[in-house]
Amino acid sequence: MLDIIYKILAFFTSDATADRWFEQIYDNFIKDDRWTWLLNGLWVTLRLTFFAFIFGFLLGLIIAIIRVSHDKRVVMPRQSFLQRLGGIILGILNTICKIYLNIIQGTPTIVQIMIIYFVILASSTNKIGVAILGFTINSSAYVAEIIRGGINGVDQGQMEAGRSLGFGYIPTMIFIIIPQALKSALPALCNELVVLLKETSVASMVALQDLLAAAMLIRGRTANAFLPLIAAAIIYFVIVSILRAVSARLERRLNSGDR
Amino acid sequence: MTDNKTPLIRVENLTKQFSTTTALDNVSNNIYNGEVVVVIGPSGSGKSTFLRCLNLLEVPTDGRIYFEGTDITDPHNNINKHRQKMGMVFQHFNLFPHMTILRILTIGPMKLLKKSREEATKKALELLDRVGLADRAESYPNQLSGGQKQRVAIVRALCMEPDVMLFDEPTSALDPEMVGEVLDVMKMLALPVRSAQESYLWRRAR
Repeated sequence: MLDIIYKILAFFTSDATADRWFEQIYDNFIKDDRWTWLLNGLWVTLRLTFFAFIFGFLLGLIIAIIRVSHDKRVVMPRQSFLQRLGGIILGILNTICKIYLNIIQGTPTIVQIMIIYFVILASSTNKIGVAILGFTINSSAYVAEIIRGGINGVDQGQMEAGRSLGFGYIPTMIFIIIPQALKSALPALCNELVVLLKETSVASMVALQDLLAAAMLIRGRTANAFLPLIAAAIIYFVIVSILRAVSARLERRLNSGDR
Repeated sequence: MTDNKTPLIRVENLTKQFSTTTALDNVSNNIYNGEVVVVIGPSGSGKSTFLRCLNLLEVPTDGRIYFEGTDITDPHNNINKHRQKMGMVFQHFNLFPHMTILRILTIGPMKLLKKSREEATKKALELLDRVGLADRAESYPNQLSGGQKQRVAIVRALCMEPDVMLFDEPTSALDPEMVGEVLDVMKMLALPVRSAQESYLWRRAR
């Protein structure tokens, strides 16, 4: 492996330059197995992104359903006690969701992460758990708006058709509305996943050993910023490219049923 | 179940007001088992609103609707149970685009009537065959023509084994050459029960 790197470098440049570059590559990635730091950082980044997206998606879905249910609620002229109570509870939940969305979308991600890490859960030792919670909250706000848009985009007749068969409001949502809403929201959701992956680099600010933090650690040891940061950038870029390719395929697959 | 003396659907003083207009003003009517009732009138006269009130897709402002003896406008009655007995066919079909035809036809019977998959599938295929679409069971709605979609929509309602079928302008969104095939299916449904055919001229309902 080392031989190959050296030969490639030597092929493109003079022997002296090749030596210098080789030395830097050796210092930054190979000495003390520093490349494993990047690998471990990548693993943290991927885990963080994965769990934050899954939880953020579920929380966002719930928020979206509450918001839509409240906005489209039909008030009966005669209501039973339970219906009245349901309306009041839905109203309260909707107000909470609105305030939540406003706060999360109205403050920078890094500030949210720092508040959760240094203020709310300052005593917690589970760094990655705290980071997952922070990014879950952040992501859920954006996912909620994406899914809400998707639900509102589903034709009103779909809900009526489901209800006319005898399905209740929630089963109609689950079997008929949500699948169609998610399909049309898929491109935006994939984009949110990509944004989230990149945004997790903010976690390095709260001493979580993610990919960027690993690169910075190497920089601290070697006093060379160029190679480790470029390496981190390339890794982010490759992962994002893979996600984009997968989402494009998925979209094509789902759309093929339309023709 | 219901004899022919008591009405299947009894409408009492039904009123529906939208923000600016009164669509239905104090409408009362009886619909008996086995009757084929046609509601006709100019557009905007409240035909659709009346029909949609019958299964509470539109919530009446005032009045009562009794279906098989129970007041479905009473908030204590479970409307979902009663809707299972009232099939509805829409102007714009409203099939579920993310499901195959077979799935569309079986999801109601399986989830709501607790039928087994085999039982629901058997019934669905039988009815699909009767409307001449047996070979389209695995298709998606968007692969069908308008007339085919509407025939599937009728079968979807029939699979729930309803006591009454509500058709809301089922042919008005169809190309002229496809109207016939849908009407044929509707005639086939009406034939065994045409004890009394009535038409109500629906003047501006106020």
